[in-house]
Amino acid sequence: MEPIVSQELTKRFGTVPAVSDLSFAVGAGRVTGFLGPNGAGKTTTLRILLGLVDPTSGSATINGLRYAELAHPARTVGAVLEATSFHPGRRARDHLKILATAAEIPLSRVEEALDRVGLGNAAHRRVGGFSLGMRQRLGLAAALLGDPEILILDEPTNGLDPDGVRWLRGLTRQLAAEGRTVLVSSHLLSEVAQTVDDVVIIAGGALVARGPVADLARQAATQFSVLLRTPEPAEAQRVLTAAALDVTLDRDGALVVSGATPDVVGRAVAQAGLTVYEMRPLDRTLEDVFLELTGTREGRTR
Amino acid sequence: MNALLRAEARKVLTTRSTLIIAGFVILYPALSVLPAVLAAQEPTVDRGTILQVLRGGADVLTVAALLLGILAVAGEHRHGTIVPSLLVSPRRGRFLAAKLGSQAALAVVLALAASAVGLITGTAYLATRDVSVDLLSSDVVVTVLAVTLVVTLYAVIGAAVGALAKNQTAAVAGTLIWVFAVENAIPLVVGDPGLKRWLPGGLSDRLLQVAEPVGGLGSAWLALVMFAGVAAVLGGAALVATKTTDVH
Repeated sequence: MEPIVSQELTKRFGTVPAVSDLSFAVGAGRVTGFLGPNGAGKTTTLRILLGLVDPTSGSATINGLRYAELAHPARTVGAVLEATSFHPGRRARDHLKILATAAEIPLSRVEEALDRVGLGNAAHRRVGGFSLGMRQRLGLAAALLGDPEILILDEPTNGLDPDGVRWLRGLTRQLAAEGRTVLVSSHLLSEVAQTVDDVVIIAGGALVARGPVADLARQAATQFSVLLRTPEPAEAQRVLTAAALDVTLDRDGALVVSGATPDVVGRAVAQAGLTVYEMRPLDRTLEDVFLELTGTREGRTR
Repeated sequence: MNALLRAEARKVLTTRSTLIIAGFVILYPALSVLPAVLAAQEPTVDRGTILQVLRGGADVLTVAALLLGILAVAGEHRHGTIVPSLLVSPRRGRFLAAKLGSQAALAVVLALAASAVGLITGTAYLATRDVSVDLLSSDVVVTVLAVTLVVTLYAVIGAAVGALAKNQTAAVAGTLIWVFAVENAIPLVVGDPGLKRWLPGGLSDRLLQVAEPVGGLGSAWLALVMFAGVAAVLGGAALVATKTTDVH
């Protein structure tokens, strides 16, 4: 059984759909990137998974159970949702002791978890004096308290400086190496591309792609696109579209022809007698594929 | 459930605002005696003065219990700690029960501690006026129990209001406006001064005067049932809200 399963999950806030018929599964012992632009429904999905938000329909389960049905939730799932879930007047150690007490986890785990995230020396300090990065670490310490087999991290790099991001990548890799299942959300594929095995990509609350990140990389390497600059972009777009090519207009007036090589594009515009200022193949990155899938490439009109 | 209650106790003991309020209400009865001690012309005192000291402490305790209850629940929403709390304790009914239970337990401790301070300072002061008080007399014991019961029910009401409102500032402001203005204004607006005794403040006042021959014991029992009913209704509404509301 896959540890995390979302099945036909739908959530509407009033009449506004946040998640629409979303189905995916996260494999055991895999690191899965849960990706999508801001407002795609990632956080809502994770909150449904963690029992904080009720779905309108469908289900989200962990080890086949709803979160509230887990016998020992904190020992099964560790979650980091936001860096602001702390009482500012409480000491870091006390925050964790409260959670450990409620979850019936030995208090000795508190120091271990603080040490693991590099907050051992700040355990006695009040959280109100913590930087955003330290709060993220404290959130991770809370998630690790119960030594869970599954970790759910919602945009964990938010607010981290480059050192913090590197540290988090290292920690995520360590956690995965220990055989844990990790679901980490981000609005940037580049942030997690080096650490994840699989991706689930959503946009507008719906699934747009899922599978091994290697497949996306292959897609990036094998799909061509061409940038074309002409004084007659509208006419060129008409000609290329008539030639069954996928054309988009960049904000600066250049055309980007996806899935075509320069010779195909060149022939089409030459036959139409159009003037060309610039034509060159574009290198497609993993991020390009992600942005195209989610329809968020800046300046594109599709 | 025990684990959740212990966790709630830890929250109370690691929140400075709670400790400051608790310290103040425990010491308040002693502070309330002080003006009488320092007055150039001391007021007339008798053994009934000790009941006044206890009830004076209860007035402050009830407001404090309401505020502490609100802070305990709405404060979780304000600081976002509701998220980690519900992640370790996703069964929301049990979570709320632990909140209400821990606030009730805190209220019992505060009421008994404040009563002890009131009795010690009150009897010491009365002794200087050659008035002796039997601390085990029925009126003293019954008043202490009434204070404890009223403060405990107010703590439950406060926690329930916090769970219903979620917005800490709105809950505190709304509650203080209700206690100090609305409850006094309603009888005036309706034109029936007697209506006040059927409102929560009037019911709790009647309970605090259980040792007095006002309306007999029967009306005190009725006041208890009605006041407990207010706490139960609000607690029930809080349970429904806690179990059905999305947490963002």
